Amino acid sequence: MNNDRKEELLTRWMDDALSEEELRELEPVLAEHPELQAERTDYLRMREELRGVIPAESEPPYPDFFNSHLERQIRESGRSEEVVASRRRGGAFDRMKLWLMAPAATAAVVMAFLLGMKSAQPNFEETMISAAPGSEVYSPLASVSTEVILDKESEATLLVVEGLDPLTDNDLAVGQGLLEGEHGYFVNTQKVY
Amino acid sequence: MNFFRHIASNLVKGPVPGDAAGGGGGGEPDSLPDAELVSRCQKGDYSAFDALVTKHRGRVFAMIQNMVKNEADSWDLAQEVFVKVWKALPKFEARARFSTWMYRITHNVVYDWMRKRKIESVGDLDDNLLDREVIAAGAQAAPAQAARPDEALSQGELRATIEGALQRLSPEHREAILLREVQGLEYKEIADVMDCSIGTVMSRLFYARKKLQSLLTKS
Repeated sequence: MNNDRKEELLTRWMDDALSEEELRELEPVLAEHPELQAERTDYLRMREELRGVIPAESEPPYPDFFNSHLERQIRESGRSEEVVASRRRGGAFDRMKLWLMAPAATAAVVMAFLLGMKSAQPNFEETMISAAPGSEVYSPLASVSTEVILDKESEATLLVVEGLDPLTDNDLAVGQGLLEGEHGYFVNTQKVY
Repeated sequence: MNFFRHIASNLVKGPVPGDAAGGGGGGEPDSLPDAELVSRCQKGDYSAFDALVTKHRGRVFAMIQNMVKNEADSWDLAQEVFVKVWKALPKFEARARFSTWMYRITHNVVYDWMRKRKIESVGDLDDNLLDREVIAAGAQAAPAQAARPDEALSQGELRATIEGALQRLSPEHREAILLREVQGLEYKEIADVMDCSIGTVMSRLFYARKKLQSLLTKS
């Protein structure tokens, strides 16, 4: 008989749980070790003492509070799980929203760019503010007022630009629509003196 | 004081989680068998769960108390056990008795706590310490923990002696003895609780009894 089998049979023998066949199987071992009978008797007495002093049940301190505290814990853990779950749901929604937002944001940027480009382009009608008959002044800035004054007697052309830093001669392109100068003004007039 | 506890207990009780109606009728929860209470719990009846807790908290607390020997920790761990029981109840399929399943959860909670405590105190837990193959039958597998003087006075010398001897067993041997001799579980149930084979249970019981007998004879 191997040790595992012997341990199993002896354990069940202690508990008086052997069948007749198993008891017969164990008999040689008991015959070889007569001290086992005394050990068994001692153990059964010890077990009774053990059961007498170690209770199977022992109410926790404050048993009513035990239940109410448990209920609160369960309720709180349920709530926190709901929060986590909703965060997970929200997180998934947020991620989906981000995916949807990406093309929308791209479209918005493109639109803003186009609008910016359009607004940056000179508004010819607005910038042709005040010109002598037959003359045009184009300004990239709508806030700048311009005026062309032709003085035949003195044979002079006076260009009045208000709202800008002082211009140099290079800032003006006079004649056939040639743009020059830092400010990019174009003055087209039928007569230049 | 008891009156105060009763009032305090009722004050903190709100609507039962998951079932505002308090479950289906059919008898006082306290008098129902476990299977019926479990069935009601699985339908979300918290009052049935409250009855289960009231019915089993004494056994769970005693089991934990005998394993960890600290009343405050035992109280907290018993709470943890029942929180886990509540959460796991929807998956309970009644293949085993409810009490056996509950002891299994208790076993896990206690061993998790011991592992955590071991890690916090000395570093990583060496699982070999819990391996039955490396525990000699005569080895002192658990540190001796003397009962407090007031306990010894109130519980008597015999109890202190037996408790002292139990504490000198390894956790696995101690648990096997408690489940068999104190809680009265069958070998198969002990195997289910401790997640091992019946042969292992037999071996643990064999060596635990010899060790306990040896310790008590010496003392």
